[in-house]
Amino acid sequence: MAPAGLEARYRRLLRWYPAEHRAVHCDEMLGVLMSGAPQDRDRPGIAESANVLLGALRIRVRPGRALSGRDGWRDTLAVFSVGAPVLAFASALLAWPLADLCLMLSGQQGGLGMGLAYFQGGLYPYSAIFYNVADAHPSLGPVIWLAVYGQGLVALLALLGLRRWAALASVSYLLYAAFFAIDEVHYGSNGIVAFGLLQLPFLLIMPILEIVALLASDGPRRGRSMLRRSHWAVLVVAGLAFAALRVPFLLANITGSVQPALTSATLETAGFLILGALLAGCWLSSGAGKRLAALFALLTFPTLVLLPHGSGYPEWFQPGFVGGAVEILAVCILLAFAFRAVRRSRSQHGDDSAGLA
Amino acid sequence: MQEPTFLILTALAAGPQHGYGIMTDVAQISDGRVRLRAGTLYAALDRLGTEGQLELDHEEVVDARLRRYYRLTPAGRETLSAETVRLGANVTVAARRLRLAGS
Repeated sequence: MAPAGLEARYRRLLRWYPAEHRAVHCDEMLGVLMSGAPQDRDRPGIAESANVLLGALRIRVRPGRALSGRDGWRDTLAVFSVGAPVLAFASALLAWPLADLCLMLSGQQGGLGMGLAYFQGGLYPYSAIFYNVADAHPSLGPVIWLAVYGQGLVALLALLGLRRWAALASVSYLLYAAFFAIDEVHYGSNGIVAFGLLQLPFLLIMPILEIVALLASDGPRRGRSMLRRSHWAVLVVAGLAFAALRVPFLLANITGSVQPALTSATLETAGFLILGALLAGCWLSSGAGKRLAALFALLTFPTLVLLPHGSGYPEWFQPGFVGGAVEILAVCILLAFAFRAVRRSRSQHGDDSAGLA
Repeated sequence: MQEPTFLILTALAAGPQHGYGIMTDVAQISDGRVRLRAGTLYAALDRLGTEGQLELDHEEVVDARLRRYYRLTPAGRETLSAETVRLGANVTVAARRLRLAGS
């Protein structure tokens, strides 16, 4: 076979490298591989192929990787500002029919709002609303509509690149959710969960992070320019998967199953969420991608700190003990991140940086 | 520091080199004992670049292929120097003990 065949095969192997690495080094590596290949060789040897693939793996998994370019928190927040509301909205869209389905399967008449209330966690700040009003108001149409599509409005404005409008919508959404959440802290009316003041930031972590991301970054337009179709696909699929993974917990909770099953489902779900976020981050394979994964993992954290409120969990796991300390620590970390991001945003204004993988 | 990294830095200590040049030089420096492959070399170059140990010197096109020359940064030179001193000290101790054991 002609050397062109060998070159094509080497090119195929080099596709395993991250796009940004390929853009800089593909031709150069190809030259080195071809120079080192024996004259009569028409295909890469096994050892050579394995070495090229191993090199790609090393580069992909290396933390803070990037020979050229810089991708700091501003870019990460820019991507988050447009990616997170899309992920949350995709998740909310699926959570809605799933909640209905689970209630129907369990033969309960709690209403859609009650079902959605079980979808608590960072991606579902509206659960605070439903906990409060689900029992009192059988018809929750407008409340549900505002809560779920409020996230959709933020997503739409961010996709359009309208940073200030998206921030305004996020602030409105935060106030809307916070009103019910604070009311719940005072009255604990639903009888299922009595939120503590420390849980508030976690119930509302999604709109809080979104506002920080919108204000501290170069905005959703910049974030959108860094995301490719495949990234969007991962975000939407992850959002749908997050909703689907809540079903075991939802069913266990609605049907009042025994706590071990609930604990198992809860931990399993939380584990899946964190793992999914981390895998997405590795897949993005860049500094910005890994930071993005950390932010998304933060969204799943409320699942861990809010769910143990149910009876049957060990006392040390309740918020008053370890939970409370963890929550305070997490709030401090969150505030530190926000402060640092804003400060960097101001001091580095004007810098350009590399995209995601 | 792993041996391939040490040898790559050593290969670049004399002046800028391109990828294939580094590979052949490393084989020569190590008397044929260490033969870098492209995957290993470029993973190492990527890491060393990220760490600020080396940087791009210049590019040229030879036989319609791009060649990129790398050079040590001051930090890379310092790292190599420190590692050389460390290895030298180890070698001195090892040689002294071998002499003592032999006498």
